[in-house]
Amino acid sequence: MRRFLTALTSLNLVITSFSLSFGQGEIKGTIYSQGEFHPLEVSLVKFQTKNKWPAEESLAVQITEVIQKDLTFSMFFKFSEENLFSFADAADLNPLDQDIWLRTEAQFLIAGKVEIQSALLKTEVYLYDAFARKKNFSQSYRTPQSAWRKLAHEISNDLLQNLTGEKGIFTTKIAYIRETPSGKELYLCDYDGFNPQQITFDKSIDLSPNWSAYGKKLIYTSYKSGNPDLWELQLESGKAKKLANFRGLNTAARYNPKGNLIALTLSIDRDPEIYLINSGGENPRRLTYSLGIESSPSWSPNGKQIAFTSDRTGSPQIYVMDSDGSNVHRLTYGLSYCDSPAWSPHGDKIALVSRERGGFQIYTVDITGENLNRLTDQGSNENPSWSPDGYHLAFASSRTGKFEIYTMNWDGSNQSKITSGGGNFSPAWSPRF
Amino acid sequence: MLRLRFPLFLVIAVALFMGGCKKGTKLEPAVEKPPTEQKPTEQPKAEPPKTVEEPTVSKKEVSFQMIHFDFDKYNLRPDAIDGLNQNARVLMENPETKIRIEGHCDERGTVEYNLALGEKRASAAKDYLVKLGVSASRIETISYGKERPIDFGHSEEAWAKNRRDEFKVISQ
Repeated sequence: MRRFLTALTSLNLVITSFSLSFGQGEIKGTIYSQGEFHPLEVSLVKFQTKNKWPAEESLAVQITEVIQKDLTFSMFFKFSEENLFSFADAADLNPLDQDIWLRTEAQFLIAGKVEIQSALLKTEVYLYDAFARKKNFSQSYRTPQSAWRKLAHEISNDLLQNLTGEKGIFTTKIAYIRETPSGKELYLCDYDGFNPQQITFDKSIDLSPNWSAYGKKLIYTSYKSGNPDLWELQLESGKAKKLANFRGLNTAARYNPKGNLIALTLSIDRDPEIYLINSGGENPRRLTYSLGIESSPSWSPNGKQIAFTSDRTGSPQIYVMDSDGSNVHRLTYGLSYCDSPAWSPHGDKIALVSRERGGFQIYTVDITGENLNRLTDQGSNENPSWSPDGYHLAFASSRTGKFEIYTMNWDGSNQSKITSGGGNFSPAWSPRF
Repeated sequence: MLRLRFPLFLVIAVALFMGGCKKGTKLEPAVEKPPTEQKPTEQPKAEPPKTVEEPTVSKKEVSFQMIHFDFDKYNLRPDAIDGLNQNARVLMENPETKIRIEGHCDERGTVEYNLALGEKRASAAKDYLVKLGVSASRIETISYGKERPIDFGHSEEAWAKNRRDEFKVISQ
């Protein structure tokens, strides 16, 4: 946290701005400004229930907990340590009731009510401005009871959007590779690690998953046909098809932001180089011309540039080129071995790994090459993958002795493990669906 | 003695037959019997065609040496050159043999970088064999990156074993 603040102080500019609503009209405030971080203070009250049935009470508690975890994860909020006060009806807090408004230091108060209606759940959420003592926002949801976790994530998305203007990532997923007894397969889990599920059954070696622009497909390299070929998996149908099987490598494939092109490593001209193919797997165009290894392309969010790894100077370093292969320049200096570039969705930074004694550590660097910032220091940490809002990273770490997937904030804070069992690696954070 | 006389008899028979042809007679070739392999005890039998996986004449099993690489490198060390020279000899002695060179890495690089490094290691070996005169069409290459170690340890010794090319026979 300290490192992050120091970096900000030296930058001394507004990095992000959000619109906050106070009663009528909108005032644009800033979360980061003048080197200081101003999270919004909110109070989240345990959701009430319509009928006070045990099943409702249990769901109310669980939904509230997931919302609290989501909003804490987002970095934008500070939760007041309320010992939750009770009120008669969350739907209608009396603006004249001093007791409620004076008891909280929060700027905003979130409350809700849950009602079981046979197999469905009716949930109402209320957002109050504690300063203006007004209801800002209310929303009603009707969902299957069994989908309560997804509901809670959707509520979090809506609250975040209303409070900050940012679209939440709480319904996003992480694709990753898991070692199973019969091979390396593709898995999916919620962004927080819940609901892990196996999605390929190839009984081979599957590697390097990457999401299409709208999250409908995953491309990955698989040896199931006897060669490292590029495959495409349609998530809804579960159907996979071979997308590219050029002679040699078809690896490290990444869709461009628009989703019409794929950058990947091929070795059809003998050396591993970066090529472009179209989303149908055809029309290879070579981008790099250098003896040695070129791999691991990463697109800038505007699709105009590609960062990649090249060992043309003798050890792997990160380079950047235009997406037609021109204007190649080196990004990383001062580290002896760099790999796995991942361009932030904000466009201003690239995450990468540096090999140091004992393993890899994750760094971010500005696209100018300045402000190299180390984020990890335990175990070996690989494969950084940005959340679609650019505020978080997923990565694989061996710090417990086995490889697991972790998430962390963009400044390296709040590193938390989201898988278990070991043999989990190569995370790819989905887009918002 | 029979061996010599039989074809001679044919020649004489054909010569006499040819000599006896008049103009306008359609010339029909004499029925020829193929020379038989002289086996003391058995007659040759007609056998139905079968899918032969191994040729009926037995071939000696060919085997190749693994070669090893330095950390992060795909250049051929002197000991690798020796191994490749030996492998080239085996290939020359067995001109029907086709091989696949598998390139492997130790666990310390990233998954993707190692896929490329394994490819370079396999190509380096292939290029050298081709330079020695082995036909390129007899050699396939594939990289397994760090995905197929032969030693799952995390020591220098294990890593050195894993940085290798393996030579697999795909047909003889």
